Amino acid sequence: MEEKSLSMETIEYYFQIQRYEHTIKLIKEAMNEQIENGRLWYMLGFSHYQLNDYDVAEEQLIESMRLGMNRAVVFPILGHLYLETERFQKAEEAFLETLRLNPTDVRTHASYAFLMAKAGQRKKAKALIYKALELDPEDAHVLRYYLRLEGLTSKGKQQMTALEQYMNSSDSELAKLIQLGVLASLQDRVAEAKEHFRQAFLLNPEDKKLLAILEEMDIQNHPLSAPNRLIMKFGGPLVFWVIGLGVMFLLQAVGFPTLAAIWLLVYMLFVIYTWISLPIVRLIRKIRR
Amino acid sequence: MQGDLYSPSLQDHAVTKTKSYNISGLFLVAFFGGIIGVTVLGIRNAQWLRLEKKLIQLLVAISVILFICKTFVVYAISTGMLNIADSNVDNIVKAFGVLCFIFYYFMLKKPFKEHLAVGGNTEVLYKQGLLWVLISVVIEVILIQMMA
Repeated sequence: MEEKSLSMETIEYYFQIQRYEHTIKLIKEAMNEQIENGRLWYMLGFSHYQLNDYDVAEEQLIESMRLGMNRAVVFPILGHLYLETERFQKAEEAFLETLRLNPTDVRTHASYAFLMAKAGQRKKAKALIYKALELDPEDAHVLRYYLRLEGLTSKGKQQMTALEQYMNSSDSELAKLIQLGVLASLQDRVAEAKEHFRQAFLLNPEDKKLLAILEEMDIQNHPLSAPNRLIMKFGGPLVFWVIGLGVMFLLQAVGFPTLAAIWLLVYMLFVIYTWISLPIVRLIRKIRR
Repeated sequence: MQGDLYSPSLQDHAVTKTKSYNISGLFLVAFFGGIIGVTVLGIRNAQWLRLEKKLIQLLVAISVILFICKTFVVYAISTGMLNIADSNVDNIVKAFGVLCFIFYYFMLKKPFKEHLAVGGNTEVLYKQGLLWVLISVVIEVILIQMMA
């Protein structure tokens, strides 16, 4: 009996410190004796979920509920699992079930808001994230999703406030670095984004998603992608279009039609190159491997 | 809205994540193809981003108005009502296409950013872009020939 409790304590310890592969190994060793333990099945499913092994995780999480694990704890994880695997209807069912069981679950409000945004239900997403903020304005998970849903697409003061609130939250260093990377990436600050993702990867070298992001950043930072970065330095594609066409019409207006035609040709070739530069870099990297 | 917050919103039909082209890429379609190409691809993009029905209707209305205006201007030039050289007809068609693109760009900009903020990717535009440039050009040429 003492050995059994010691084993559970060890498993709980590794689970809490997020050593999921080791947790799975320990649970499998203990499972024969405790096959009816719902908490063990939950930890097993959650660990597989964290390691992106979604099919196995789903079965184990459902099994944990059958064995008596608290449904209000399992359903939000299932919701995220369905969200990751793009089964949006099932994700919604899981989040709504969580909110039915626990109407003040702020984190599920925020996760449900994220689901709605992904499905293009912008009004509902907005209402849900503000509802979550109203319930707990300091929750790290809520502030992370608020930054993602409202902060990243807003400008100036609202964005700064959202960022400041999130950076002062208790979210992990890893999560903060990832969000900063996402923010920099969306604002086309590629080098800065790469640095944030690199630091995040150093904190969690087993994260394959982060590795994939870093590889994508390498592509965007490649010398062959320099024209794309140049366009962003000019203020984005629209500004670049206006400058390009403005110069062409100006040359025509001042009586240099040939020069205007040459300019248009060079300009269009440049623009078309920016369309194909990233696929070219990807192809080169693929060939080199 | 409060009641709606806790009612299912995705249960009636097959729901997928939002999709989008890189909307600035629609410029080339507008520049080379004109209003028709940018309208077809822009409306498709608006539907992918799940813009509200009334906004999509507004975009269609803008396209129709611009198309009518452009047709009238081209007709006025070709019949001599407007004292502009025939050689400028092509530039005018392009200008209307670009104007149409600007409306679409500003209407789609925020939903596009939101799409990217939740991890959305961009769809490849080359094939459809080229196809609609060709279709648009053929239609424009036929129309201009009919008015000449």
